[in-house]
Amino acid sequence: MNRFNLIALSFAVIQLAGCGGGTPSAQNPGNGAQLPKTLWATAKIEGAKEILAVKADAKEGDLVTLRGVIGGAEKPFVDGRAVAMLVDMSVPTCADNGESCPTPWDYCCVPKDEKAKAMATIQVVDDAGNPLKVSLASGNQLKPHAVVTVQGKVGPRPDANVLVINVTSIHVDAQKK
Amino acid sequence: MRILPFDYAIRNLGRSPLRLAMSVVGSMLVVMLMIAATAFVRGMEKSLADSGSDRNVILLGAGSEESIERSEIKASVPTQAAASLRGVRSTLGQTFISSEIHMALTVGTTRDEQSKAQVVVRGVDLPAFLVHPQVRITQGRSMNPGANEIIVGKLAATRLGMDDAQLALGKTIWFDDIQWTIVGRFTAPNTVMDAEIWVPLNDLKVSAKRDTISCAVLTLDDDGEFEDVAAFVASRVDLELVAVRESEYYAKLVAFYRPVRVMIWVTVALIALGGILGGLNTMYAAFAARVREVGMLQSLGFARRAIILSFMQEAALASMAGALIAAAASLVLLDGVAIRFSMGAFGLQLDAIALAIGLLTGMTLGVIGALPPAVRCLRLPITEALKAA
Repeated sequence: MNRFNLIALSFAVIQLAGCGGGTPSAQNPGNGAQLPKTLWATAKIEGAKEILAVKADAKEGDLVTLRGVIGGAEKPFVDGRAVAMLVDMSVPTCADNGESCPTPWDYCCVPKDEKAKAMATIQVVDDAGNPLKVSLASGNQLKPHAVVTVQGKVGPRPDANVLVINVTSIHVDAQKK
Repeated sequence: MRILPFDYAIRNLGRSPLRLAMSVVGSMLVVMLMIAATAFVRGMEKSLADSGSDRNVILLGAGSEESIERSEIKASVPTQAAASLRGVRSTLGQTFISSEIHMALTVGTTRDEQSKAQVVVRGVDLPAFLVHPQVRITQGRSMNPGANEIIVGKLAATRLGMDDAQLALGKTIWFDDIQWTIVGRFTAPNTVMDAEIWVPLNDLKVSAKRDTISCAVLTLDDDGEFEDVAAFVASRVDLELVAVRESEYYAKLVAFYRPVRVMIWVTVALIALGGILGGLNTMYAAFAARVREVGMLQSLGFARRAIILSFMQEAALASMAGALIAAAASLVLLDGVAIRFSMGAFGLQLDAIALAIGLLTGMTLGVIGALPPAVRCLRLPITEALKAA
């Protein structure tokens, strides 16, 4: 083996070793999990209800269609899991109230109790019912403050404020600023 | 290049005992200060860094990510987390989830005499000893619930500005208008817990008249992933939680104290600069008196570089002697000395790095302090140098 090959081999080994050090992130799930291609609806999903309306009477197992804004926390997506938070359209952001805020999607001006009442969680689950090990923001289809319509089945509701939707379809209606 | 023998530099050191003493003492003071500053910074960093584990996750109240003391969550959160989460460590049926209340309180030996400083009083149940394995009871026993019993950390007295004997086993202290008996002493080396007081969770709830807890700390097992805890938090918006890796929580505190560390280094740098300038002054005076000697050495055939090297050896020997004395004195006087800070207390960390920085400073002082005076001394032509007074 000549010297050039030895150097090339050394670089290859260093690069391979370097690949293992990172932690999975939204952009790099790291374990090969992918969101189903059928998740993203190309046409607008009709018949959507607001989160507050769905929360009022939804029961576990109901098929629901609801609309909301991606937000409710500074990081509304869970890194490495297909889980995100939605806020009801009626809740005003700090920006709506005329205040300057770099992360208006976290609704930091809204009291925590009120925010919890107007929030829902969407997740994409595997056959065992566990969230997929990939962020919902991984394909850059979803961003904080996006207005989305989702369709899916209601998960367990241990509390009136809890509304988890195991979504099968997501449509991005608009992107708020 | 022919160099001057090393013992020439050594012999020259003894020519002026006063100048030697000044060099050694000056170097010793600067090096000791450098070692103390390094030990302080490293002690503070280590106490915060070692307080958090990569496998531990803290469930805090949303919006209280930067302070556990400000956080309030429902007391039912640990039970709900245990029921819903996969990947939480468990041994013999005991899940590693600790319900905790953290409160910063003043403490007194009597009801009326309260300390000026506050100490973190942590209300815990037995799982706290599982999720915080650094904690070891060194004297007495653990506290029993319902008996107003407490255990105190090794550095709690330092934190409170009290005499250690005041927190001995069997002594009583007052906080939250209740008298508590010390039944145990614990240590959690290099962590903020070392300066805390631990109380049974329910006793603290009663005394503080609260039904919430500050946080739940859980330990992940080998298959557990932080992302699953984050997903649980996102799905339980009713609990208004946020999940933070314990190591990240304390890493943020390390970053919070960065300005303090910068200030310490700037102060030390200024004092070291003063030391160097003082050393330069001494050396200028010392070498100015040796111009004729330098001329003689040159006329004997020694190159200027060889003479500079000899002068630097001389100065480095003096400053390194001071540095070694400083290192030895620091090990005796400073190692482990408890320092109070807003997060509790920590011990000065006089490790190999602190000593190496100190010794390197000593060497630098000697070399930098000798070079300009030696160069100046060698500027004169040999004939003029030989005629110098």
